[in-house]
Amino acid sequence: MLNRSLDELLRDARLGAPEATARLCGMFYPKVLTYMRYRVDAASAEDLTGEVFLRVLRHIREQKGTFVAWLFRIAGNVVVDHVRSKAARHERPLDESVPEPAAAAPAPSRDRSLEAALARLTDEQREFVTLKFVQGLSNAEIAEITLRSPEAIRALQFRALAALRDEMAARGEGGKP
Amino acid sequence: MTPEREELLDRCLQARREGRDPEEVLRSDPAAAEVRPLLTLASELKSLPPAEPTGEAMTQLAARIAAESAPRTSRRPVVRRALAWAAGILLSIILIGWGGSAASAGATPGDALYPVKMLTERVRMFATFSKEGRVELRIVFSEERLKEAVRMHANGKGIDTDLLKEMLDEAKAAIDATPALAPDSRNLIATRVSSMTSYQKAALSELNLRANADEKAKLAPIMTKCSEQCMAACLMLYGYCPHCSGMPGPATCPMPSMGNEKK
Repeated sequence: MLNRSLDELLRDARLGAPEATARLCGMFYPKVLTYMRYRVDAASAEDLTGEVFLRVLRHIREQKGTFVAWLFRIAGNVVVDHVRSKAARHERPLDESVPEPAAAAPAPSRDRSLEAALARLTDEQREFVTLKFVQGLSNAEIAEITLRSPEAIRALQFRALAALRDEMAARGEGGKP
Repeated sequence: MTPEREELLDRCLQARREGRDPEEVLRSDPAAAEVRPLLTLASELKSLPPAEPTGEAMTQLAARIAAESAPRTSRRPVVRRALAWAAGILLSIILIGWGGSAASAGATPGDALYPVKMLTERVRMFATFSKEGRVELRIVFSEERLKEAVRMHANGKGIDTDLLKEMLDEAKAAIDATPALAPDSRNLIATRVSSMTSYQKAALSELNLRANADEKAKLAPIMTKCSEQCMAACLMLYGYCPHCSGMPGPATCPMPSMGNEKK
Protein backbone atom coordinates (compact mmCIF):
# COMPACT_ATOMS: atom_id res chain seq x y z
CA MET A 1 0.00 0.00 0.00
CA LEU A 2 2.92 2.31 0.69
CA ASN A 3 3.96 1.97 -2.91
CA ARG A 4 0.78 3.67 -4.02
CA SER A 5 1.32 6.78 -6.09
CA LEU A 6 0.66 10.23 -4.74
CA ASP A 7 -2.36 10.48 -7.05
CA GLU A 8 -3.91 7.36 -5.55
CA LEU A 9 -3.26 8.58 -2.02
CA LEU A 10 -4.84 11.93 -2.84
CA ARG A 11 -7.87 10.26 -4.38
CA ASP A 12 -8.40 8.12 -1.26
CA ALA A 13 -7.73 11.06 1.10
CA ARG A 14 -10.36 13.11 -0.76
CA LEU A 15 -12.81 10.27 -0.20
CA GLY A 16 -12.08 10.57 3.53
CA ALA A 17 -9.99 7.40 3.97
CA PRO A 18 -8.06 8.06 7.20
CA GLU A 19 -5.18 5.70 6.40
CA ALA A 20 -4.49 7.52 3.12
CA THR A 21 -4.75 10.86 4.92
CA ALA A 22 -2.33 9.72 7.64
CA ARG A 23 0.12 8.45 5.03
CA LEU A 24 -0.12 11.68 3.04
CA CYS A 25 0.43 13.86 6.12
CA GLY A 26 3.28 11.63 7.35
CA MET A 27 5.01 11.86 3.97
CA PHE A 28 4.94 15.64 3.83
CA TYR A 29 5.10 16.54 7.53
CA PRO A 30 8.93 16.65 7.74
CA LYS A 31 9.13 18.78 4.58
CA VAL A 32 6.63 21.34 5.84
CA LEU A 33 8.24 21.36 9.30
CA THR A 34 11.65 22.05 7.75
CA TYR A 35 10.11 24.82 5.64
CA MET A 36 8.65 26.35 8.81
CA ARG A 37 11.92 26.02 10.70
CA TYR A 38 13.62 28.34 8.23
CA ARG A 39 10.71 30.74 7.87
CA VAL A 40 9.47 31.39 11.40
CA ASP A 41 10.82 31.26 14.95
CA ALA A 42 11.65 27.76 16.20
CA ALA A 43 8.98 27.86 18.92
CA SER A 44 6.18 28.35 16.38
CA ALA A 45 7.39 25.94 13.67
CA GLU A 46 5.54 22.83 14.86
CA ASP A 47 2.31 24.62 15.73
CA LEU A 48 2.21 26.22 12.31
CA THR A 49 3.00 22.90 10.61
CA GLY A 50 0.01 21.41 12.43
CA GLU A 51 -2.10 24.33 11.21
CA VAL A 52 -0.99 23.65 7.61
CA PHE A 53 -2.19 20.05 7.82
CA LEU A 54 -5.43 21.06 9.47
CA ARG A 55 -6.12 23.29 6.45
CA VAL A 56 -5.06 20.46 4.12
CA LEU A 57 -7.53 18.09 5.80
CA ARG A 58 -10.36 20.59 5.60
CA HIS A 59 -9.80 21.63 1.99
CA ILE A 60 -8.36 18.50 0.37
CA ARG A 61 -11.43 18.16 -1.86
CA GLU A 62 -10.83 21.66 -3.28
CA GLN A 63 -7.17 21.01 -4.17
CA LYS A 64 -6.20 22.02 -7.70
CA GLY A 65 -2.88 21.95 -9.58
CA THR A 66 0.02 19.94 -8.20
CA PHE A 67 -0.30 18.83 -4.59
CA VAL A 68 3.17 20.04 -3.61
CA ALA A 69 2.52 23.55 -4.94
CA TRP A 70 -0.88 23.64 -3.23
CA LEU A 71 0.62 22.41 0.06
CA PHE A 72 3.39 25.01 0.12
CA ARG A 73 0.96 27.75 -0.91
CA ILE A 74 -1.06 26.86 2.20
CA ALA A 75 2.17 26.85 4.23
CA GLY A 76 3.03 30.32 2.88
CA ASN A 77 -0.44 31.58 3.80
CA VAL A 78 -0.11 30.16 7.30
CA VAL A 79 3.21 32.03 7.71
CA VAL A 80 1.63 35.28 6.49
CA ASP A 81 -1.30 34.86 8.92
CA HIS A 82 1.14 34.10 11.75
CA VAL A 83 3.26 37.17 11.05
CA ARG A 84 0.17 39.39 10.81
CA SER A 85 -1.23 37.99 14.01
CA LYS A 86 2.06 38.61 15.84
CA ALA A 87 2.17 42.15 14.48
CA ALA A 88 -1.42 42.73 15.56
CA ARG A 89 -0.49 41.60 19.07
CA HIS A 90 2.42 44.08 18.89
CA GLU A 91 4.87 41.30 19.63
CA ARG A 92 7.13 42.57 16.91
CA PRO A 93 6.97 44.96 13.98
CA LEU A 94 6.01 43.14 10.76
CA ASP A 95 9.37 43.66 9.07
CA GLU A 96 11.27 42.23 12.03
CA SER A 97 9.40 38.95 12.29
CA VAL A 98 12.35 36.77 11.43
CA PRO A 99 13.28 33.30 12.62
CA GLU A 100 15.45 32.80 15.67
CA PRO A 101 17.91 30.19 14.46
CA ALA A 102 19.75 29.99 17.76
CA ALA A 103 16.68 28.35 19.33
CA ALA A 104 16.65 25.52 16.77
CA ALA A 105 18.52 22.22 17.08
CA PRO A 106 22.29 22.60 17.49
CA ALA A 107 24.05 22.90 14.14
CA PRO A 108 27.71 23.27 13.15
CA SER A 109 29.03 26.83 13.33
CA ARG A 110 28.99 27.50 9.57
CA ASP A 111 25.39 26.26 9.40
CA ARG A 112 24.47 28.55 12.31
CA SER A 113 25.98 31.53 10.50
CA LEU A 114 24.09 30.58 7.38
CA GLU A 115 20.83 30.30 9.33
CA ALA A 116 21.46 33.65 11.00
CA ALA A 117 22.20 35.25 7.63
CA LEU A 118 19.08 33.61 6.18
CA ALA A 119 17.05 35.17 8.97
CA ARG A 120 18.16 38.63 7.85
CA LEU A 121 16.79 38.26 4.31
CA THR A 122 13.45 39.73 3.31
CA ASP A 123 10.47 37.44 3.74
CA GLU A 124 10.11 36.78 0.00
CA GLN A 125 13.84 36.04 -0.32
CA ARG A 126 13.70 33.68 2.65
CA GLU A 127 10.65 31.94 1.21
CA PHE A 128 12.42 31.49 -2.11
CA VAL A 129 15.66 30.17 -0.57
CA THR A 130 13.72 27.73 1.61
CA LEU A 131 11.67 26.40 -1.28
CA LYS A 132 14.50 26.21 -3.80
CA PHE A 133 17.57 25.17 -1.84
CA VAL A 134 16.28 23.62 1.39
CA GLN A 135 13.26 21.85 -0.18
CA GLY A 136 14.88 21.31 -3.58
CA LEU A 137 11.88 22.50 -5.61
CA SER A 138 12.24 23.57 -9.25
CA ASN A 139 11.71 27.10 -10.55
CA ALA A 140 8.49 25.91 -12.22
CA GLU A 141 7.15 24.56 -8.91
CA ILE A 142 8.11 27.76 -7.09
CA ALA A 143 6.44 29.81 -9.81
CA GLU A 144 3.24 27.81 -9.24
CA ILE A 145 3.46 28.33 -5.47
CA THR A 146 4.31 32.02 -5.49
CA LEU A 147 2.40 32.94 -8.68
CA ARG A 148 5.49 34.66 -10.15
CA SER A 149 6.78 34.60 -13.73
CA PRO A 150 9.95 32.64 -14.61
CA GLU A 151 11.81 35.96 -15.10
CA ALA A 152 10.73 37.19 -11.68
CA ILE A 153 11.84 33.89 -10.14
CA ARG A 154 15.31 34.18 -11.74
CA ALA A 155 15.66 37.77 -10.53
CA LEU A 156 14.55 36.83 -7.01
CA GLN A 157 17.00 33.91 -7.01
CA PHE A 158 19.91 36.19 -7.84
CA ARG A 159 18.86 38.85 -5.34
CA ALA A 160 18.36 36.30 -2.55
CA LEU A 161 21.75 34.63 -3.01
CA ALA A 162 23.52 37.98 -3.41
CA ALA A 163 21.88 39.26 -0.21
CA LEU A 164 22.90 36.09 1.58
CA ARG A 165 26.48 36.49 0.33
CA ASP A 166 26.53 40.07 1.65
CA GLU A 167 25.12 38.99 5.02
CA MET A 168 27.73 36.25 5.31
CA ALA A 169 30.48 38.71 4.40
CA ALA A 170 29.21 41.11 7.04
CA ARG A 171 29.56 38.30 9.57
CA GLY A 172 33.11 37.64 8.47
CA GLU A 173 32.02 34.39 6.79
CA GLY A 174 32.80 35.34 3.23
CA GLY A 175 34.07 32.05 1.92
CA LYS A 176 33.54 28.45 2.96
CA PRO A 177 36.25 27.49 5.46
CA MET B 1 22.78 43.06 -11.34
CA THR B 2 21.62 42.32 -14.88
CA PRO B 3 19.22 39.83 -16.46
CA GLU B 4 22.24 38.16 -18.08
CA ARG B 5 23.79 37.38 -14.70
CA GLU B 6 20.49 36.18 -13.33
CA GLU B 7 20.15 33.87 -16.31
CA LEU B 8 23.75 32.67 -16.02
CA LEU B 9 23.23 31.79 -12.35
CA ASP B 10 20.02 29.98 -13.21
CA ARG B 11 21.66 27.99 -16.02
CA CYS B 12 24.46 26.96 -13.66
CA LEU B 13 21.97 25.83 -10.99
CA GLN B 14 19.99 23.96 -13.64
CA ALA B 15 23.18 22.25 -14.85
CA ARG B 16 23.94 21.14 -11.30
CA ARG B 17 20.37 19.90 -10.87
CA GLU B 18 20.84 17.77 -13.99
CA GLY B 19 24.08 16.35 -12.63
CA ARG B 20 26.37 18.39 -14.88
CA ASP B 21 29.30 20.55 -13.81
CA PRO B 22 28.26 24.25 -13.67
CA GLU B 23 31.80 25.14 -14.80
CA GLU B 24 30.76 23.97 -18.29
CA VAL B 25 28.35 26.91 -18.32
CA LEU B 26 30.57 29.37 -16.45
CA ARG B 27 33.92 28.73 -18.13
CA SER B 28 34.01 31.48 -20.75
CA ASP B 29 31.62 33.96 -19.14
CA PRO B 30 32.97 37.27 -17.84
CA ALA B 31 30.49 37.18 -14.91
CA ALA B 32 31.87 33.84 -13.65
CA ALA B 33 33.74 35.41 -10.73
CA GLU B 34 30.54 36.96 -9.39
CA VAL B 35 28.40 33.87 -9.85
CA ARG B 36 30.77 31.25 -8.36
CA PRO B 37 30.36 32.34 -4.69
CA LEU B 38 26.59 32.27 -5.14
CA LEU B 39 26.79 28.69 -6.40
CA THR B 40 28.87 27.77 -3.35
CA LEU B 41 26.23 29.31 -1.06
CA ALA B 42 23.47 27.44 -2.89
CA SER B 43 25.32 24.15 -2.22
CA GLU B 44 25.72 24.99 1.46
CA LEU B 45 22.03 25.81 1.81
CA LYS B 46 21.18 22.32 0.55
CA SER B 47 23.07 20.79 3.45
CA LEU B 48 21.23 22.73 6.19
CA PRO B 49 19.79 20.24 8.71
CA PRO B 50 16.13 19.22 8.37
CA ALA B 51 13.77 19.73 11.30
CA GLU B 52 12.86 16.65 13.40
CA PRO B 53 9.17 16.13 14.20
CA THR B 54 8.32 15.58 17.88
CA GLY B 55 6.04 12.80 19.11
CA GLU B 56 3.73 15.33 20.73
CA ALA B 57 3.12 17.14 17.44
CA MET B 58 2.51 13.82 15.65
CA THR B 59 -0.05 12.92 18.33
CA GLN B 60 -1.87 16.23 17.89
CA LEU B 61 -1.93 15.80 14.12
CA ALA B 62 -3.19 12.22 14.44
CA ALA B 63 -6.01 13.45 16.68
CA ARG B 64 -6.95 16.01 14.06
CA ILE B 65 -6.92 13.40 11.28
CA ALA B 66 -9.12 11.08 13.32
CA ALA B 67 -11.51 13.93 14.16
CA GLU B 68 -11.69 15.17 10.57
CA SER B 69 -12.22 11.62 9.28
CA ALA B 70 -15.12 10.88 11.63
CA PRO B 71 -18.42 10.65 9.70
CA ARG B 72 -20.56 13.78 9.85
CA THR B 73 -23.61 12.61 8.00
CA SER B 74 -25.99 12.99 10.91
CA ARG B 75 -26.58 15.86 13.25
CA ARG B 76 -27.91 13.55 15.95
CA PRO B 77 -25.11 12.90 18.46
CA VAL B 78 -26.19 9.28 19.12
CA VAL B 79 -26.20 8.42 15.41
CA ARG B 80 -22.94 10.29 14.90
CA ARG B 81 -21.27 8.39 17.75
CA ALA B 82 -22.50 5.07 16.36
CA LEU B 83 -21.16 5.93 12.90
CA ALA B 84 -17.84 7.03 14.36
CA TRP B 85 -17.67 3.74 16.29
CA ALA B 86 -18.36 1.71 13.13
CA ALA B 87 -15.82 3.74 11.17
CA GLY B 88 -13.29 3.20 13.94
CA ILE B 89 -13.71 -0.57 13.84
CA LEU B 90 -13.39 -0.58 10.05
CA LEU B 91 -10.39 1.70 10.22
CA SER B 92 -8.70 -0.49 12.83
CA ILE B 93 -9.15 -3.54 10.60
CA ILE B 94 -7.71 -1.67 7.62
CA LEU B 95 -4.82 -0.22 9.58
CA ILE B 96 -3.89 -3.43 11.38
CA GLY B 97 -3.69 -5.17 8.00
CA TRP B 98 -1.90 -2.20 6.55
CA GLY B 99 0.58 -1.72 9.37
CA GLY B 100 1.90 -5.26 9.10
CA SER B 101 2.75 -5.08 5.43
CA ALA B 102 3.72 -1.45 5.09
CA ALA B 103 7.24 -0.49 4.11
CA SER B 104 7.33 1.91 7.05
CA ALA B 105 6.91 -1.00 9.49
CA GLY B 106 10.67 -1.50 9.63
CA ALA B 107 11.48 2.21 9.91
CA THR B 108 13.52 3.47 12.86
CA PRO B 109 14.05 7.06 14.12
CA GLY B 110 15.89 9.10 11.50
CA ASP B 111 14.41 7.15 8.55
CA ALA B 112 12.34 9.10 6.03
CA LEU B 113 9.35 6.82 6.66
CA TYR B 114 9.46 7.01 10.46
CA PRO B 115 7.03 9.97 10.67
CA VAL B 116 4.59 7.95 8.53
CA LYS B 117 4.86 5.09 11.01
CA MET B 118 4.41 7.38 14.03
CA LEU B 119 1.44 9.14 12.52
CA THR B 120 -0.21 5.87 11.51
CA GLU B 121 0.20 4.45 15.02
CA ARG B 122 -1.35 7.51 16.57
CA VAL B 123 -4.25 7.58 14.14
CA ARG B 124 -4.88 3.92 15.01
CA MET B 125 -4.98 4.85 18.70
CA PHE B 126 -7.38 7.76 18.14
CA ALA B 127 -9.60 5.64 15.92
CA THR B 128 -9.84 2.79 18.44
CA PHE B 129 -12.70 3.28 20.84
CA SER B 130 -12.82 0.11 22.93
CA LYS B 131 -10.72 -0.10 26.10
CA GLU B 132 -9.58 -3.59 25.08
CA GLY B 133 -8.53 -2.39 21.64
CA ARG B 134 -6.54 0.47 23.10
CA VAL B 135 -4.68 -1.81 25.52
CA GLU B 136 -3.91 -4.19 22.64
CA LEU B 137 -2.48 -1.25 20.70
CA ARG B 138 -0.35 -0.22 23.68
CA ILE B 139 1.10 -3.74 23.67
CA VAL B 140 1.81 -3.58 19.92
CA PHE B 141 3.45 -0.15 20.19
CA SER B 142 5.54 -1.14 23.22
CA GLU B 143 6.81 -4.20 21.35
CA GLU B 144 7.51 -2.05 18.29
CA ARG B 145 9.66 0.43 20.28
CA LEU B 146 11.72 -2.48 21.62
CA LYS B 147 12.23 -3.86 18.09
CA GLU B 148 13.33 -0.43 16.89
CA ALA B 149 15.81 -0.01 19.76
CA VAL B 150 17.28 -3.47 19.11
CA ARG B 151 17.48 -2.77 15.36
CA MET B 152 19.21 0.57 15.96
CA HIS B 153 21.75 -1.03 18.28
CA ALA B 154 22.43 -3.79 15.74
CA ASN B 155 23.04 -1.07 13.12
CA GLY B 156 25.69 0.56 15.30
CA LYS B 157 23.51 3.50 16.41
CA GLY B 158 23.93 2.80 20.13
CA ILE B 159 21.23 2.59 22.80
CA ASP B 160 18.29 4.90 22.13
CA THR B 161 17.02 5.52 25.66
CA ASP B 162 14.07 7.58 24.37
CA LEU B 163 12.74 4.58 22.45
CA LEU B 164 13.17 2.30 25.46
CA LYS B 165 11.43 4.82 27.72
CA GLU B 166 8.55 4.91 25.26
CA MET B 167 8.50 1.12 25.37
CA LEU B 168 8.20 1.27 29.17
CA ASP B 169 5.56 4.03 29.04
CA GLU B 170 3.37 2.08 26.62
CA ALA B 171 3.77 -1.07 28.72
CA LYS B 172 2.93 0.87 31.90
CA ALA B 173 -0.20 2.31 30.26
CA ALA B 174 -1.27 -1.23 29.27
CA ILE B 175 -0.65 -2.56 32.81
CA ASP B 176 -2.54 0.35 34.38
CA ALA B 177 -5.54 -0.04 32.06
CA THR B 178 -5.94 -3.83 32.27
CA PRO B 179 -7.66 -4.14 35.70
CA ALA B 180 -10.49 -1.90 34.49
CA LEU B 181 -11.34 -4.11 31.48
CA ALA B 182 -14.47 -6.25 31.25
CA PRO B 183 -14.03 -9.58 33.09
CA ASP B 184 -14.35 -11.72 29.93
CA SER B 185 -11.37 -10.07 28.24
CA ARG B 186 -9.34 -9.02 31.28
CA ASN B 187 -7.45 -12.26 31.93
CA LEU B 188 -6.67 -12.79 28.26
CA ILE B 189 -5.20 -9.32 27.94
CA ALA B 190 -3.43 -9.59 31.31
CA THR B 191 -1.73 -12.74 29.95
CA ARG B 192 -0.55 -10.81 26.89
CA VAL B 193 0.68 -7.92 29.04
CA SER B 194 2.57 -10.30 31.30
CA SER B 195 4.15 -12.15 28.33
CA MET B 196 5.16 -8.82 26.82
CA THR B 197 6.88 -7.54 29.96
CA SER B 198 8.75 -10.81 30.58
CA TYR B 199 9.85 -10.88 26.92
CA GLN B 200 11.03 -7.27 27.22
CA LYS B 201 12.99 -8.15 30.35
CA ALA B 202 14.70 -11.01 28.52
CA ALA B 203 15.36 -8.90 25.40
CA LEU B 204 16.96 -6.14 27.48
CA SER B 205 19.21 -8.71 29.16
CA GLU B 206 20.26 -9.91 25.70
CA LEU B 207 20.91 -6.35 24.61
CA ASN B 208 22.94 -5.76 27.76
CA LEU B 209 25.20 -8.71 26.89
CA ARG B 210 26.12 -7.03 23.60
CA ALA B 211 26.40 -3.51 25.07
CA ASN B 212 29.61 -1.67 25.89
CA ALA B 213 30.24 -0.03 29.28
CA ASP B 214 28.55 3.29 28.38
CA GLU B 215 25.56 1.51 26.91
CA LYS B 216 25.27 -0.75 29.95
CA ALA B 217 25.10 2.36 32.14
CA LYS B 218 22.23 3.70 30.01
CA LEU B 219 20.45 0.36 30.08
CA ALA B 220 20.69 -0.18 33.85
CA PRO B 221 17.79 2.08 34.96
CA ILE B 222 15.65 0.88 32.07
CA MET B 223 16.24 -2.75 33.02
CA THR B 224 15.33 -1.99 36.65
CA LYS B 225 12.09 -0.29 35.60
CA CYS B 226 11.30 -3.12 33.20
CA SER B 227 11.77 -5.68 36.00
CA GLU B 228 9.38 -3.71 38.19
CA GLN B 229 6.79 -3.64 35.42
CA CYS B 230 7.26 -7.35 34.75
CA MET B 231 6.65 -8.03 38.43
CA ALA B 232 3.58 -5.80 38.44
CA ALA B 233 2.13 -7.57 35.39
CA CYS B 234 2.73 -11.01 36.90
CA LEU B 235 1.22 -9.97 40.20
CA MET B 236 -1.84 -8.72 38.35
CA LEU B 237 -2.24 -12.05 36.57
CA TYR B 238 -1.09 -14.65 39.08
CA GLY B 239 -0.91 -12.87 42.38
CA TYR B 240 2.81 -13.66 42.55
CA CYS B 241 5.79 -13.32 40.22
CA PRO B 242 7.04 -16.63 38.72
CA HIS B 243 10.01 -14.87 37.14
CA CYS B 244 11.25 -13.25 40.30
CA SER B 245 10.18 -16.24 42.42
CA GLY B 246 9.09 -13.91 45.12
CA MET B 247 6.11 -12.20 46.57
CA PRO B 248 6.73 -8.51 46.06
CA GLY B 249 5.41 -6.19 48.69
CA PRO B 250 3.29 -3.10 48.06
CA ALA B 251 6.39 -0.90 47.72
CA THR B 252 7.51 -2.70 44.56
CA CYS B 253 4.08 -3.53 43.23
CA PRO B 254 2.07 -0.49 42.27
CA MET B 255 -0.71 -2.52 40.63
CA PRO B 256 -4.25 -2.40 41.92
CA SER B 257 -5.83 -5.75 42.68
CA MET B 258 -7.73 -7.64 39.99
CA GLY B 259 -9.35 -9.85 42.56
CA ASN B 260 -7.67 -13.12 41.50
CA GLU B 261 -4.65 -13.13 43.78
CA LYS B 262 -3.66 -16.28 45.66
CA LYS B 263 -5.27 -16.41 49.05
